Amino acid sequence: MLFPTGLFAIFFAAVFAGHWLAVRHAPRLVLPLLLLASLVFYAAFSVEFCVALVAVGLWAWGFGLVAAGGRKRGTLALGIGGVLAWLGWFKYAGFLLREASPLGAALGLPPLPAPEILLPVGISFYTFQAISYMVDVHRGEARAEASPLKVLVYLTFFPHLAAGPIVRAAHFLPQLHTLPDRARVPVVMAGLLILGGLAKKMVMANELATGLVDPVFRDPLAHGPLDILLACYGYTIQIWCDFSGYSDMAIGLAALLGYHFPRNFNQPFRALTLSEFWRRWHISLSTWLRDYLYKPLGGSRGSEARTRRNLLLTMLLGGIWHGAAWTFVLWGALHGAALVAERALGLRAAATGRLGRLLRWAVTFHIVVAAFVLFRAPDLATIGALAEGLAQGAPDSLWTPRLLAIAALGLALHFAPPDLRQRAEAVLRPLPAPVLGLVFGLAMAAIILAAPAGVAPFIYFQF
Amino acid sequence: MRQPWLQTQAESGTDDFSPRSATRPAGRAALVVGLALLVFAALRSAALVDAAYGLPLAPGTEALISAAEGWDTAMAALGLPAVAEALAGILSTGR
Repeated sequence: MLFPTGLFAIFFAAVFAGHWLAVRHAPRLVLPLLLLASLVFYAAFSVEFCVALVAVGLWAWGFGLVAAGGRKRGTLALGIGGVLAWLGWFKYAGFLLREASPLGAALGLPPLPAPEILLPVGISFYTFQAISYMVDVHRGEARAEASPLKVLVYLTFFPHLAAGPIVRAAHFLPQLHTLPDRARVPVVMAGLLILGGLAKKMVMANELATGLVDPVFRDPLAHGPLDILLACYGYTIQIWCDFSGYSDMAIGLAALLGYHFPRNFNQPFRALTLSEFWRRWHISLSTWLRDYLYKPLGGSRGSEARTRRNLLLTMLLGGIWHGAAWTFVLWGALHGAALVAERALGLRAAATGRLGRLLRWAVTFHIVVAAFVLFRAPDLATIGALAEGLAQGAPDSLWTPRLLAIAALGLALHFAPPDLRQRAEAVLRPLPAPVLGLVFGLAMAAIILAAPAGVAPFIYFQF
Repeated sequence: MRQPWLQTQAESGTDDFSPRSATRPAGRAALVVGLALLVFAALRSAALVDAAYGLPLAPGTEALISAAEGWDTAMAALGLPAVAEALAGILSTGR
């Protein structure tokens, strides 16, 4: 069940009404209802994987109980290991067996099986949240829940279930210990987030994908140099629109139910350095990697060489987290190497002068664009074909004034003043509820009518 | 602790909500959400019929399909699909 569909709209309307009625009349039912709704949402993707999701939740809850308050480090390791094994089987087993096959053949071993493993939606996100629960409880940052209900709601809560944001146990679980306040639903801001996210996904991301990026990456040699260049920049805009759009919708939907997720994107292409980029892009993942991987590895506490090793390792594992493909490994390695180079060259200090800042921005932005080309390419051969296509000079045929306008609109939205949404909220705040509903409904319909036909899945659904 | 993100000012750029975020009681919020979905359903009534036909066969699916078709017929009588089509034509200029 994808967010921008009529089915989800009906589902959410029912959950919204049931949730607030339960808050008022049957507080004990609030969490069971949220769990039920989340399981129904997930079961729409797969009933079997829904059972597995609950099993991961119960696993995390059980190990949390045992390892709470700094006790039994070995048990915590076992709990984390179990969740990672689960993730590893689905995401990496097929890849590793495929990659090991030629080696086995060279050694004269019988061919290895090559299982076709279906990836459960959101597995990378909910396994990281399960780890967050166990570690936070072990560190004493979150309470070990006596009953599994709250842990299951935390793990399965449908707005973040399929593609994040990765919400920390220490941040979200306390919200489940009290009822949301019926008198304070931030409907204007939530509506703006949902509409903004919908526009970014349905109009900008989908149009750039179908009109430009997908055709070029499917067959680079059939397209001209300008098409290829525009597709590379276009994908950077597309992935921002797609993923930040999803995050905005998730944050808005959770807010309508009285719950809070932290912001996941903060104008990442404004960054002047790679380290700044990672403080602005997919914030919930970068802070997760920092707190649960980089710091436990030693962070920047040891020698400079050790810090660089930790940075490289963290970014490499961050790349692998996205998927089992050499392109993701290279994407992570490129970001890791760029972060290390930035440290080595002392570029993390603030640039002086307008030209210096502009230069830093241009270098950072183009490293990000180049890395996203690796991220988007289905295999390494495609990257070679893109380079070849740039040199070959086939005729350009894809770009249109509309696509350029859409890309420009995406960039304009990204670089808009940071308080744009607050300003829009100030305009809408005085409107009476019926007028606000009418405005939101018309805006939603206009966005869907402006979008290309069909609903392409979100990019991060595959992770 | 009740929606503390609506009570404390977060560091700039780290959150979408703040004490300045306008809030409404759940009943008013439900009115906003309900009306927004109603307007949306009115302008996208044909898509609702398609969505209903896409539902898995289960008790109640037939009733949902009938309701969606009835809604679509009512909206067509009001001329709303034509308005939506004209709007879609304008918004897809240059595609």
